[in-house]
Amino acid sequence: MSQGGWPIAILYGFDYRTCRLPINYVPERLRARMKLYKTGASGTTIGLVVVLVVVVVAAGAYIALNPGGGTTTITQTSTATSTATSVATSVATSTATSTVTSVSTATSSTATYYPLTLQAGGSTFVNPIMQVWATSFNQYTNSAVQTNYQAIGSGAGITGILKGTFEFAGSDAPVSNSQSANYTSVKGPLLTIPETLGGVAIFYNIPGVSVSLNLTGLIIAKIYLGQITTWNDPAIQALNPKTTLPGNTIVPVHRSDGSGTTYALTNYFEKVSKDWNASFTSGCPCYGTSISWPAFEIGAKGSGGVAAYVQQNTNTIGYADSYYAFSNKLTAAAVQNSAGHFLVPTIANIASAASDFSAQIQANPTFAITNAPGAASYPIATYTYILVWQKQTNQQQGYDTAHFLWWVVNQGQAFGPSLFYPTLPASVVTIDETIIAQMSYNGVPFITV
Amino acid sequence: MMSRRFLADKIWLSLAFVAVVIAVIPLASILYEVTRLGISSMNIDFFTKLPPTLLPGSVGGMGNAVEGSLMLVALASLIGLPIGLLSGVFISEYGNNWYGSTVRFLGDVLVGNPSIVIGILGYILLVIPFHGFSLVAGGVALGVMTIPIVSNTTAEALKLVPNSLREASHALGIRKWRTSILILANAKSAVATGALLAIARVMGETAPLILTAGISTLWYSGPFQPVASLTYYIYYFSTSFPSHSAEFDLAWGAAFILIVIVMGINLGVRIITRGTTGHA
Amino acid sequence: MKRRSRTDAIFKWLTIIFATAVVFLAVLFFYELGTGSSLTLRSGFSFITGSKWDPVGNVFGVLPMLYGSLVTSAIALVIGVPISLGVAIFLSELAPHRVRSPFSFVVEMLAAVPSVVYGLWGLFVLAPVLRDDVYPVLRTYLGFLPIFQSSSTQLPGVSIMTAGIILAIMIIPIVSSISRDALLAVPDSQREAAYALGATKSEAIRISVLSYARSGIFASIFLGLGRAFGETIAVTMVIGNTPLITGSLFSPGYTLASLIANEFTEATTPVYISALVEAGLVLLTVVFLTNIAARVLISRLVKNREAASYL
Repeated sequence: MSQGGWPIAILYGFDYRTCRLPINYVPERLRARMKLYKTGASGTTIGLVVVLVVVVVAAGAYIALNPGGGTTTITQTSTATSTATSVATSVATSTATSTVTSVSTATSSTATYYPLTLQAGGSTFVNPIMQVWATSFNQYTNSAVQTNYQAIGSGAGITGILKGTFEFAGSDAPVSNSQSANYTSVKGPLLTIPETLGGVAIFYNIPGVSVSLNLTGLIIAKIYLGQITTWNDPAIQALNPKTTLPGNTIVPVHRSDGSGTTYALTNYFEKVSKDWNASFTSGCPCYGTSISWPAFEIGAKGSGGVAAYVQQNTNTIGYADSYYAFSNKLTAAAVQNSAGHFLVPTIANIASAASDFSAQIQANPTFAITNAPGAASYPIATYTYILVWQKQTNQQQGYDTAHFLWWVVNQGQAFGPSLFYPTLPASVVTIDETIIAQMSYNGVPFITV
Repeated sequence: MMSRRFLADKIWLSLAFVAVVIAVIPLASILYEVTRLGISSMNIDFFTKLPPTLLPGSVGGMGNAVEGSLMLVALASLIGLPIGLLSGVFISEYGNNWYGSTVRFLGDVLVGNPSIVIGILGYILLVIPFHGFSLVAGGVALGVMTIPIVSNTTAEALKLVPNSLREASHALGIRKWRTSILILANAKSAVATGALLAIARVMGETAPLILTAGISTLWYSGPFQPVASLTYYIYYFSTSFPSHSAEFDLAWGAAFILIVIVMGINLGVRIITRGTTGHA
Repeated sequence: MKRRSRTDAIFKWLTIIFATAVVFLAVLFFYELGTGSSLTLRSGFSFITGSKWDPVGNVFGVLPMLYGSLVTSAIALVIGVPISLGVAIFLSELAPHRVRSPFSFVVEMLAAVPSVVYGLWGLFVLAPVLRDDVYPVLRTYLGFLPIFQSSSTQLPGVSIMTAGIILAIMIIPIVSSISRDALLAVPDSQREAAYALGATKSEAIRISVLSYARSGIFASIFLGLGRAFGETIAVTMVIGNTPLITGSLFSPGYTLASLIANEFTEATTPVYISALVEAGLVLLTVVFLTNIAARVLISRLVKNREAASYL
């Protein structure tokens, strides 16, 4: 052994019976040489890493063991129900200043709910009120039921419910048979419940123009087809003689993701514009959640994306739920309805469109309510549907979901008006209740009407 | 004629300097803008509250996003670090053969994989069978991203340790596996550097999470439920809400905290290992 | 003796198993994406050459997306490679030693910025500046070129050009660091020979160093291309998400990665999913091939630096 080897070897536990060194024996000189090759302030880095890892893993373990999803016992509430709700009244009038005015919610119910999280997702059209519903229902059930609604677009919502990722989905477009055939044959019927009313606002950002332009469905369709390219096109100017329109090129903005709002708008285009139908070479129905838009347009993700893009870029025009026009402080166009009146979307005229079709909705809840015939009806109105399986596979989740949906069509409607969603007509509420009552587990319905 | 060449010389050299300045400007701008727009959101609410809703008086924060990002990264490290580490040990200690060089090569190539493809893989393998987005899917997808990075940086770090150490250790009768651990201990700062950088990189990823972890408006509620993350929220809030809204400001705040963490790790690591091996 | 070999063997096989994870991953990618896209792979090359993407009508052609990916990557290379080479040359040849460290540090920090923050900055800081100040100038002076023409009076801030610029910034760190490795690997004798013949500094670099380090620089370009091609979120935020092929760089576009990111969660029918997975397969193949080419070139370089610095 090298210099200094023997005495140190004995120090480190050299076994003189078997003449073996311990495993971790390292001679002094080698030790010194090893030190030379150390790269960097090893101690500090190692310390950093260890501390980081320990902290993160400890935090993760703590959180993992205490998920924020509530306690493990079913909450029993003993306070009496306060059913009085003061509905927000000052709504459609003051568009510049109205926020969600105070609505005192119906606090705690006496019923028992299973403490769990409902996973849901879909339409961005309905997202503003859906988030309010989620929080309010959570208060209503004394923090038992949490709802996570992911606003990823109607198309993704439909996928989610069909694949079983979501308990329920929000979609402005009903599910077609071809989409659901594979799944309904296995899982049973898919219930489609119209739970929200809304209007598709057409908004724009034109430098120097802050009034609501009069537009017809035909003109809007032509803009999106690329046939009308400038603001001061004769067709638009003719309807708006008092407004000076610039000669800038229009940049239309559409939805890049699968959107029920697109469905409603293109459904409307199909009814009012022969140009629209003709431009689809594969024939009609030429409306849907995802269509091939023609040249030079921008695709934005989500209703919020469209509104945000229009707000930030001049000479753009876009479409989204009327709430987004308001929250982005964008001017909405006055669209001509089938009776010839030019209407900016308001709660009253959207509700009027819904009531125009109440008979058709009775027969078929997925009837599209665009181009309503009434004189005071907004032409591009649409229902948002909640999609949920009739035969639930989990008793607790099904129970909570059914009660959430029931709450939405009843108490939840109070939150609508301040967010630009009209309340559902009473006839539709009755239809919805009938549909929700069909939800069952092992043949036993959750709610008896 | 001579002066023309010298002039050209000066021009070319100053162009190189200009290139460096051009490269630095975006970084400065990013740091400045993110700090300017994001720092106003830094308060206790940011870390303790859920995203705002439209109920009156709702104050929002990104507490669940911060929590979710940390959990995702923790899970990713738990999966990726051990596998990557031992893989790197293999390449450097037992890999002087065709198999070792194949692993090395594939690792290098996998490092450059587009992150959305990893998301697709995660969706096919982990989201569909488990019927939904989940923390587990997101963590595994991110972990899969870290494996090749950690594997190759570990291999590089171990190769830096000179062979004489291995030979000396063998000469003393120390077993091979013990030697490997010895070498690893020797290179531990470089290995830790690689691991930390992989973690920092993975923390800033969004695309895999879109397809695996989804988004959540609630606090963490279980490993098989969707989980919020800073990166996804930045993407979602900034593109779906108008400027000057609470959500928009929160998105910049999230960007700020993300930059602080990610660049803090990078900075810290490089400062500590400066002047030893590697670039100047 | 037996005990010794058993633990050795266990450890060895443990490392082999974990190393196989890397190989397994590479194989898994192609296998899963291959089987996942089996429904549309049958239609053959029309997937790549078709220019209509219509999920409702079951027509899937990704030519516009492929075009978008290629053009944005090309812009990124055209803008980013000269800058990166300038940085690399500066840091390896020109800068005095004291200055090298902070500058290289700063360039490497560019690699540390998360891509979503690049997208955020690009959308809200860079795009308005480009839209209002840079693009109109380009259109005025270079408008005779078809790539700088546009039918719209108001140029959108989100376009292929913006995405290309963001990508250029994102590939600077990787291209510059590998080029720098390549330049540093050039033996001094080459430079000395050039100086001995009376070359100025830039001439010496151009004649002796750059040509010697050519394969390394090409490798870095390939890696940059791979990175730009596969970048998802930063591009999705600034490209406008419209599947169009126009000759103009000012129009919005679509890339393969953005397509997948935007539409994957809403693909209901198996054919739709298969088409999107096939888009992912195309993306993976292109990036894989460029990375392989790059690594093969790099392996010819003399490498004596740790890998961590060019993550």
